[in-house]
Amino acid sequence: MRADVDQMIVDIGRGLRSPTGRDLEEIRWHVSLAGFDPTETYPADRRVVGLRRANGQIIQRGDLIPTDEIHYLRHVEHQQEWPTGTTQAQYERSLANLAARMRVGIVPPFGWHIGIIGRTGDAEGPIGGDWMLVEYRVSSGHWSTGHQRRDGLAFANQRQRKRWLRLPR
Amino acid sequence: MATPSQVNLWNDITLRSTGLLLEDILERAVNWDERPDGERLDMYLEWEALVDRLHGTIEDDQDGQLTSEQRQRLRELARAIVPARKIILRIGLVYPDLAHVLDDVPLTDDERINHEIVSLRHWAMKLRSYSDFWSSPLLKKQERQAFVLEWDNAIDRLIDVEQLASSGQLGPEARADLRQVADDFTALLPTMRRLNLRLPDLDALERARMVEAA
Repeated sequence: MRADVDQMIVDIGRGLRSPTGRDLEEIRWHVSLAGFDPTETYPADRRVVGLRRANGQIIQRGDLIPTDEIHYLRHVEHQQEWPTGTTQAQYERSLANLAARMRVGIVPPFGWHIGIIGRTGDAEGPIGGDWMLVEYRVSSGHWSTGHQRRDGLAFANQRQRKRWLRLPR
Repeated sequence: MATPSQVNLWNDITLRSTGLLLEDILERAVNWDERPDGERLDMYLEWEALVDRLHGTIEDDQDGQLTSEQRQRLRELARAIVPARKIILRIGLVYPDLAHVLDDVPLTDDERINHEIVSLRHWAMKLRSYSDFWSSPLLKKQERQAFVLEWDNAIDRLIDVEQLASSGQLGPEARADLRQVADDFTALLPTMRRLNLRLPDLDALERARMVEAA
């Protein structure tokens, strides 16, 4: 059950549980299925102002954009991390596929977040990175971000994280 | 492996996006606590991702990989980030290690010390992270060698800051930050020994941990 896996993530983060291989597999699938929160919106930031939404509307300052769309616009349209022509559905599918892969690294929970990092592969765009990250937030039950990085190892630098639960391969 | 033109484009986007998001952050900082939790988290994560990209751009600058225009834009961005430091920290976002770029940015003595301590904290976190990969093929030999050299430099700078503290030149905020950094380095002593990295002067490290609160 999703609530059980969320509790597992929290317990791992608190040091109350050492994850088994089975636990990590459950976490991967749990994150893979989570998606962005369909009810959440954020005000358009400057990177997406002026971009065109799927409905043809040009984004203005102050527009409220659904979280899945705003992440797509930032990282695919503005920063060109994914291949040219990648649709929002394809972007989200690539994040789900990343989390489901076996050779990914799992960064230990920090607060209510757990990160999954793996090689970008075919999802690397003209200005993409070698590594892709999807981060999951337990308190919302959804992804909080998905983007590409040049240095996958450096992700754990910040936030005073503990050791990786599993290193990427 | 990224081609030079890809590196060039990556850095172009990094500089532009970081500048744009910095403007967004400064605008929203005015009423930060009133903003929805989800929005604040979103800003935190996006800024954190761009700070990480910025660190890569700064490394590329050190390696001579930036164009002259990018070098100038990087320094202009640093000049915009420095005065925003207190705001960025107040709202709980990460503050970048601007490293050698600050050589070209006018700073007061206090600002220079504060940034030095930021850099030391960054190096402590980097060691903590790299220690997991030290023997992994994911960490290239050249990266490992470069890290060792840079680590020596970080140790020297830690001692320099401790000497400033001992001579009473640090303000209360910097002393508190130095104590925290010293705690971080102390906790990492076993890691330094395991990886055969240079250790800081242990007496100086202990003095930094005990530097007076007021």
